[in-house]
Amino acid sequence: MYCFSTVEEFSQLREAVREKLTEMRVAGVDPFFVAINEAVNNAIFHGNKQDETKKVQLTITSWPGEVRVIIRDEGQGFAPAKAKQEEGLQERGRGIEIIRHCVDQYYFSLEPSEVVLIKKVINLQ
Amino acid sequence: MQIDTNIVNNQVIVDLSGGLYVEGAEILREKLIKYMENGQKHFLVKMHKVDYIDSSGLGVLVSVHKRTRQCNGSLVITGTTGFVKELFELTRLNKVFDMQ
Repeated sequence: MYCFSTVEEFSQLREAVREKLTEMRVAGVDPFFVAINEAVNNAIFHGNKQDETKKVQLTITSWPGEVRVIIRDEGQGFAPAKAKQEEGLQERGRGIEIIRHCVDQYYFSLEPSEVVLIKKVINLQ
Repeated sequence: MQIDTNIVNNQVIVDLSGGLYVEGAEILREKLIKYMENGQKHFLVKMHKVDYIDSSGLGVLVSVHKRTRQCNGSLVITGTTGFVKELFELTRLNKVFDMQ
């Protein structure tokens, strides 16, 4: 499990996370890595509201045929139904759309406040 | 993220390389806004050496694009490749920006 409070702290962990995904034979490391960064940014900025006394926990687990990444913050949780899809010249609001396209499955939980990102692994058979 | 800038024929050439993560996106925003405050309104962003972008970087480019439009300026993006290019298409920003 990785634990951090700020973007600067997470920036020191990014390469280890990417290497772990590669080791675990994730099918499509690049898009999954983008989705993880989006979720981490949401956790730091919107979940914990950049409060450096609060932690974000990132856990990578191997399941049969897939990899699950759980990103948990200490905020109030996030209801994706309230997230509207932004178009055109809005500066913000694309993170959830990007996550949706970059993973095979995802779900949010309000309590605890976390998002689970799921991606299939490469089948070598 | 490395951000190299210079001015050629009244156009700010922004040469990016590496990953444009959230922390680099804010530095890019500050740099480009400073140019705009100094009267520059035409920008060419070279992205052929960028291997990562997410919604924070895209948001900064949208923000600068909006500001250039307000003052009859321009923002041109060149050289997107691979998954970076896919993200512009996925978010339909390839229809918003002048991409060459």
